[in-house]
Amino acid sequence: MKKSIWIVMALVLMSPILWAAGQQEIGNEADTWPTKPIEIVVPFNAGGDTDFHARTYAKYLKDILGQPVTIINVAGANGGAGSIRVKNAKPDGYSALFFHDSMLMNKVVGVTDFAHEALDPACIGVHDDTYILAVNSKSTYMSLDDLIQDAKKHPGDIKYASSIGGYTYYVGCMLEREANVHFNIVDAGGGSDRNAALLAQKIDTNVNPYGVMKPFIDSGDFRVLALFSEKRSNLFPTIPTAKEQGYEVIGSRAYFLSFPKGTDPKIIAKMSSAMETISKMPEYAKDIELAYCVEPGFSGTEETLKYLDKTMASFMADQDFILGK
Amino acid sequence: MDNFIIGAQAVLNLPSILLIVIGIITGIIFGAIPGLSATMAIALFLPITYGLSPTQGIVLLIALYVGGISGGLISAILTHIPGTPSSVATCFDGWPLTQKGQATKALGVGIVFSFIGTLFSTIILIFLSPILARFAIKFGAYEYFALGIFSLSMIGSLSGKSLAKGISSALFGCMFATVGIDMIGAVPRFSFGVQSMKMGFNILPVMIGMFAVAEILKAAEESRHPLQSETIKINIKGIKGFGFSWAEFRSQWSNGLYSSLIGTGIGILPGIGGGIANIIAYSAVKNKSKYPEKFGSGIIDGVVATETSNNAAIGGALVPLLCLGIPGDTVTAMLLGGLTLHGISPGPLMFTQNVDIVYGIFIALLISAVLMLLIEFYGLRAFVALLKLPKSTLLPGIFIFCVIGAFGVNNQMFDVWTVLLFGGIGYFFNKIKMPTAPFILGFIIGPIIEVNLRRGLMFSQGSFAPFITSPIATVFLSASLLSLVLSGIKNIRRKMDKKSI
Amino acid sequence: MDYKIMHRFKSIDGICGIFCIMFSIFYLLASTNIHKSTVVTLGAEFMPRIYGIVLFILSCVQIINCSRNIQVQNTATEARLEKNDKRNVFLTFLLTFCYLGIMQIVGFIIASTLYFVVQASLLSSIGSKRRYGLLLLVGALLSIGSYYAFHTVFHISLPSGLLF
Repeated sequence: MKKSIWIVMALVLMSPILWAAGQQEIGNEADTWPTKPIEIVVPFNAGGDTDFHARTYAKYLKDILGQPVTIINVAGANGGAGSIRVKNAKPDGYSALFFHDSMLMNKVVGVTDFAHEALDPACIGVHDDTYILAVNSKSTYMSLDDLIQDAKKHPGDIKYASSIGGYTYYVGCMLEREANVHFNIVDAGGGSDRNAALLAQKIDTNVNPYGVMKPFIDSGDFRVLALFSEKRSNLFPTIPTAKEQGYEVIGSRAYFLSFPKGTDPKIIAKMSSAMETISKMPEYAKDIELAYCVEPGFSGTEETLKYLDKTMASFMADQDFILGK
Repeated sequence: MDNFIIGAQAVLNLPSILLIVIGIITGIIFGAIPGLSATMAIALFLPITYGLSPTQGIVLLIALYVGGISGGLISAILTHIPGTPSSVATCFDGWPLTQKGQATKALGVGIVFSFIGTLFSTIILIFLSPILARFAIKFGAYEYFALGIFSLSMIGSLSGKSLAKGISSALFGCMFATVGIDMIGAVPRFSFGVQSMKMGFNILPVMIGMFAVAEILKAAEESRHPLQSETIKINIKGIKGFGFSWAEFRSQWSNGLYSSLIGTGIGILPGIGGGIANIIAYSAVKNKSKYPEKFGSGIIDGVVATETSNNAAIGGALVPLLCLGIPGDTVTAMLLGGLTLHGISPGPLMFTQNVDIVYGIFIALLISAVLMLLIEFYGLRAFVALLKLPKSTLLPGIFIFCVIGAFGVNNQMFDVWTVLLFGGIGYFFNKIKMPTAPFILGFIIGPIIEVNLRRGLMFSQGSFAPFITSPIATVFLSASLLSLVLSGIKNIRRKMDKKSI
Repeated sequence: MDYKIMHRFKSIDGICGIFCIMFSIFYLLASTNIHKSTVVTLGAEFMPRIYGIVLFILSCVQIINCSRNIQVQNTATEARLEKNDKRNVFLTFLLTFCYLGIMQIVGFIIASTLYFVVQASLLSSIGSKRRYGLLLLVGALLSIGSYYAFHTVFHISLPSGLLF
């Protein structure tokens, strides 16, 4: 009996504390921001591409903003978990989300019920427009056209690897529509799983950013057929774009930073100008080139909003298509 | 040989050695405290390696990995709570040994065979990795499906008295693993409209709940017995070395080799993940044994099987990582991230382009293995002294760390609530005499089976034929059928025997 | 006495079977809510259906077995389990629930310290002397130490609550 009294006492003692917790003051300190460490949520596990880009920015932000920037990994639900956490955070400028186009895709496929409109996007930190289509070098396809012609002869036979509802899936759908062919779209896991599958010729094609497949391209195991971008990359200029080859399919992934809704515009402006400075630093360019073969690409707040709205509109237009209805 | 010299130059310097020592000690601590796992240690140290040189960074992570996986045996043996998911099966025989007053022996065996497992898999990694990596990629959806079925057929030897309950428990594991976003169609399942449920349950909080909370609840149930002594008596005096005899060591030689092979093999296959190596090795060694009925009563064979295999999985997991840049589980995914951060992308050219890193890793593994053996040997008596603490203070302390560990998985409270939920389930399972090990096995293997079945059908455009015609898949499927039939026969025979008595 | 134990043993299997049946039905019903995609050959609802149906059949077998099986062995271990303390288990569960609940409000340090003291006294056996002061000290040191270690070194943002 004595024990239960003890518990009740403990709870009673805590009650004033519980009450006091409700009363927290929010100060307006946009002018002096930041005065304490900033938390950037990466909605994936440590070690991935999103984590890398966030951490690279964080490394340089520390010196510019004068406060440490810590990366918090909140993985789960294909990025949904981290997005929700930031959406519900206090809009004081000390928590932000570093995510990419999948945030919009999550809304389209129903993983979350909101996208960038529920937050205040600050800027696009980096544009990954290095999506390439590769085949095993033992295959007979020498150009994108070879692949398309073969797909026309054998509809539904060529195994195009992607995760359903993922960005590469969308690229595949766009290519199917543009070239008027039909692939067998199969799930073969994430980036590195697909590398293994292509190496063992279990799949016929693999679409991913260049950096993910680089080791196999360098070793001669993979042959790159096309780059899904407006123009050729400066980092691997020998690879032709799909557009050059007559198939106008453009794919890109924008990694953007957003704050909880209602964050002071001054804070947002300060943050995006800091990130703009970093994106122009040569050592930053070197970092991202070494790791992911990407060139710096920054967009300010207005451009970012425009980009996100446009992307969302095109995803929404293709919603039935993406959901496979 | 030249390569080894390059590797040695990269690793054999004071800062690197110091990092290995720090890594091993921290790893053991993280492994030994339930809730803080090897995975968490690596996740937390990954950002720190950002500021180090590539070799130093990876060396630190490797040391954490080796120490963390081995450290899990300490709490599994001493408190019946596995320190990491890799030590779940160590509890089965480690804890009964402790209850018999042989904790020192159990720990000694576990430490020595952790060392042997690490060493074995490192040697395989050094000499055979390119060949094995090329073999591993032959495993596609059909093969992983068959392998998953084969792993599940191990339930028979984990079920205890009732096979039906064992299978039910594994099914519960599979069912709870389906909660969250479907890995293929990206649709939410069983989230009941709750946003947090879409994240699904992470293995770490599930395991903490099933074992740690269930253990606390059990202690609460028994604490009212006035006569029960709180601490376990252990006689440390008179025990030399690792606490076991040369004859005992020799008798375990074949078990150790067998488990090393299983652990390395499971580690090499990227789709399976090293976390279940211990459970599978335990079942396999039990099935192979001449006295399977003694398993679970406190014999060192069980500890040998689990602790050799989980450390052997380390070297195995590094094979596809280094040769192909393919991570097999969350830990190797983070190691990959650690390398990518420094602009190094593992792949086919890794062994020629980054000799210093590759051979540095080999040497770091060897040094880590030896240091782990030494540090745990000298720590052995200190670990055993933990048993002198009364359970009533030890368990709440452990739970606080479990909360930190669960929270640290994704920096959110949902995973902490998961611990409580599965604590309740684990306690209920104990009450209705449902074994918990098959649950964990089902929880890990269920998704592998499901994903690969559905992937395979996408590949074959709806035909089941390749699941049977693929040679590797055929071998595993028939092996699992055989194993299930055999355990069914055993079960019936046991019932017949009992009836005749 | 013997009859009672026999009955109990039977009922454990029975409860287990009934629980499994109930869970499988619930699970199967919930699986009907899964969105069906036409892109994939097998939808997301396929495996859950299989799991649910197999569990259902298995638990039916268990219940049938249980009602048939009159012979019961192994009485000694069962009898020992009879002497347990359900109330203490319930209190521990409740305490853990409260601990996690208040942690988000009062923060990790205060919640953990209180939890430690209360849980330790719940777990200590009836005859032993309880030294609350010592427990409070150990609990506070443990929670403050681990909070700072994880917060400052590893950036795990454990709920900080009122103290900050």
